[in-house]
Amino acid sequence: MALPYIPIALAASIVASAAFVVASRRVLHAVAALALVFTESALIFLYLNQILLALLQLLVFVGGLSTYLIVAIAAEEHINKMENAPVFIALSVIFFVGASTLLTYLPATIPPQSNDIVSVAASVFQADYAFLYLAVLLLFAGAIGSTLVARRVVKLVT
Amino acid sequence: MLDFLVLMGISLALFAIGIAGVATNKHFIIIMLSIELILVASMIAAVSYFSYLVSPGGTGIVLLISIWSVAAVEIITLVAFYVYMKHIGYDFDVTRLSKLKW
Repeated sequence: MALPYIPIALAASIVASAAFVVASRRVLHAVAALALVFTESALIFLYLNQILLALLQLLVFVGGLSTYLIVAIAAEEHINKMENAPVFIALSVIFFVGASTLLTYLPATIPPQSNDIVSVAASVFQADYAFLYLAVLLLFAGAIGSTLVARRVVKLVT
Repeated sequence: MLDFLVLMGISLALFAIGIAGVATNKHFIIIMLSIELILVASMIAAVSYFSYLVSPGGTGIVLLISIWSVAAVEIITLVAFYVYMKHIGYDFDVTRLSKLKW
């Protein structure tokens, strides 16, 4: 069952979040809005019945890279007090309830999983999952390479 | 499922916002985040194209992994640049980054 207004709301919210990324005056707000854009793009993947892509998008970009970005930028901004705490709590509750409601209406296309740990472990090392290992290797190489490039740039600047 | 034209509209809107962000901002971080928006737009366009036009269950996972890699490396590079530039007290205005030429 899918509600007719959810795609329109999803499209409007992702465009609004993207506009907030560009128009925001504080970098931390822009990064938080970008994390919201990543989350909504994962919801779009879910609507396209691409469960694995949505999961990877959530795990890699929202859970990993956005958190990394937010922590790095928040640590450098040296903000100790929490600004607008009631608004933050209210938005968190609204986001949680809205996302839970939205997930209730998504098509349930997740295949049944096996409980046999040996067969699951054996299936993980099959060639079907080669792209996952490739993605992990690329991310790792990118992380190391970007750090080396940044160190070289800093040596040139200072 | 979402309509294909709606998805293309979302992708086009994100791409336009990203291009506008790159063209109108001088802040280094915001420009990089705008490029991330362009990459998200390309992700949505690629997945919807493969889902609707190539095969019903297609993902275009190889193309998507290449986009993901570029986006992830960009975020990691962004954090590295941000932390180093903040530590040395360098300005984030890209019009003043002439020392980065080598």
